[in-house]
Amino acid sequence: MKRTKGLNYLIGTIFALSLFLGISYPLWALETSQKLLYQSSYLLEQGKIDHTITFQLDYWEEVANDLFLEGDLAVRITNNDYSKPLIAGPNELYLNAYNVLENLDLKAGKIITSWGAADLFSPLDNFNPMLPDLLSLINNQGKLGTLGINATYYINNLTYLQAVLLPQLKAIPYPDQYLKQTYLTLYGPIYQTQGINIDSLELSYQQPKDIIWGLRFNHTFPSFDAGISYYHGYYLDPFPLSLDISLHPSGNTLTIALGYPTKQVIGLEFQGDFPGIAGATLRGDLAYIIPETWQCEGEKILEKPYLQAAISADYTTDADLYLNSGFFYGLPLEKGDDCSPYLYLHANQEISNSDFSPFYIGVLSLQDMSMVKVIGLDYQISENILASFSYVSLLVDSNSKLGVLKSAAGFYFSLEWLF
Amino acid sequence: MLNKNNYYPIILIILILLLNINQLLCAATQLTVDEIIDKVKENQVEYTNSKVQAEMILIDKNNKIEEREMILFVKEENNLISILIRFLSPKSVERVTLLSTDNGERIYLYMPAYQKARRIAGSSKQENFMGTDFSYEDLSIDYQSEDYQKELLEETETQFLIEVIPAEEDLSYRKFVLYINKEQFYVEKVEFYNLDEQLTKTLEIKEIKFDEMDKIIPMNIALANIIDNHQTIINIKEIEYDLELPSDFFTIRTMQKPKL
Repeated sequence: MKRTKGLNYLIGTIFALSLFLGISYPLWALETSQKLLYQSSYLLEQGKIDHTITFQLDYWEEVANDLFLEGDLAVRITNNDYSKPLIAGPNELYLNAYNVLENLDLKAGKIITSWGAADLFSPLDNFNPMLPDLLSLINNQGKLGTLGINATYYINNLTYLQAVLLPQLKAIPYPDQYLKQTYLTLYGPIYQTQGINIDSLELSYQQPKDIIWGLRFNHTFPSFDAGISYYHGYYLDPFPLSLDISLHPSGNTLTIALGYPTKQVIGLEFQGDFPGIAGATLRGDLAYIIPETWQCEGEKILEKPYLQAAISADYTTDADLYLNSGFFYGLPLEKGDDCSPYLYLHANQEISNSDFSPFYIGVLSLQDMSMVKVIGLDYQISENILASFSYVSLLVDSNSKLGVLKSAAGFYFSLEWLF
Repeated sequence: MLNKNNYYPIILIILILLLNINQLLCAATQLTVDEIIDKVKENQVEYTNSKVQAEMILIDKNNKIEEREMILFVKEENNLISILIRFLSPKSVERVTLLSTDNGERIYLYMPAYQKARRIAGSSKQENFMGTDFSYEDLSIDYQSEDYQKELLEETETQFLIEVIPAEEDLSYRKFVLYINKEQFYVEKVEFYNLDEQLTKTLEIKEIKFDEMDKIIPMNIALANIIDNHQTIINIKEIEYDLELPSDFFTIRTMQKPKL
């Protein structure tokens, strides 16, 4: 416990120092780039239009030789049910020092750490939570920074060892309203069979206290890179720990205590030439996950170790058709025995003499053949302005493997301006 | 009316002219192919590594123009070329960094948004490099290699035309034709012929400058893909040679640095 507090203090101090440096540097002295993003969606199930506006300012400055202050400032306003209405502040803010000691690089502050070789749904990427919306998940963007230290020691030009330490968990920021709705849908019918109607639902959280850490060893071989890793931390989404029902004549309230089980992940990652297909790249992440035994009301939710995998290959044809196809065993929301196999395809066609670029993303459950499809069109309005329109459709029912995404069906539009 | 005596000066002039042309021809053809290539090499800057800041212009068949600014580091060691390119503009590719080592055997792409270097299959050397008309193979070929068979095809008033037959069997080109400037001895143009001996690309050096040692530095390079009707123009703004780069410069560690 003392160790966690000490680490928290150290990283908090570096974060505060970064903040001070960030504020004390006039904006014009920093190297900056800005992004203004407007997103809107019409969700068929809800029958309403969501709007999100995000302004992001990325910046860096070399404060001393090989010592950089880096970060970004994000302001996000939305009426989306899956996200908080206003998020403002630095998502990342850290000091990045190269050769602190010989061959040792250090990053400390509010950081993002990306592990795993897979483009999507890597089971080895466990340090930073993602914004809980479908497009952030599919684009693998929208990661949230966490306080921590990332140290990389380069043994030689081909091999490195990386250690990551986070003093505390930063969980996926589900809005309470969304979780309440989810749990009401889950537990409401169960209590109803006992003749109890739930009129309101309260959530309480049991925050994890221990530090989160991981080690990764990576080596470059002639035709591929490979790495092994170990993660010791928590699940990033909450699990129900206990249920407490208060019966009142004015209305019954269900209080759910939520917690975050610990997990250990032993990982293997690789990326490199696809044997036999010139120009194709093979990427893969394999994870052996050891969860903490977790039960709620006598029902075991997590118990035995389990496997997750994300393996994909990407290739661009002579006709400028980008293909990225893969196999997943277990999606981010699946745990333990729930893990099941999926196929994935992402195709993107560059059209010569045109600023339009159609794309397709499909995820198919091999267990029950439920499916999510995204069909879209990108339009490069100018060098720095991109518009994108897509339609998300699902072949699912509420109980199918991809049924959890049912509410994501609809039309999506985005307009991105980089300046 | 010309009499016999009047013929003498004319014959004399013709003789002198013939003699001079013959002498000129002899002087020119005195140079063997290897000597011409050696002179070209003499005029080139010898370096172990270089840093180039340049503007790259891509022109497609509809004359649509894309401009990118970049900074490029190149190192050659034991006939193996390593390249590190960082794009500075436009905003959509700012800080995107590409590393190619060992003649394209290992290729990585770093995109700041994802914060990790992504390895790309290096097995397709004929593929174009980042939307340009240069393939990895083009970047690693030494057209003046001693192992290549060379023949003087033609000599014009301003240029030597030399045919070069590469030694490698796995190359996608049957031959190259070099157009060498006779006055300044540098390669003005290279024609690339595929395995069917069809002209596929031309590379032209359109502007040069001389450094303090009178060595030639190409400042404007245009590579035209005849098949795709696409062109890549590189305008060099600044060039430095033999920098003191750390031994681990051409690694994924460097790609992540905000400043190179």
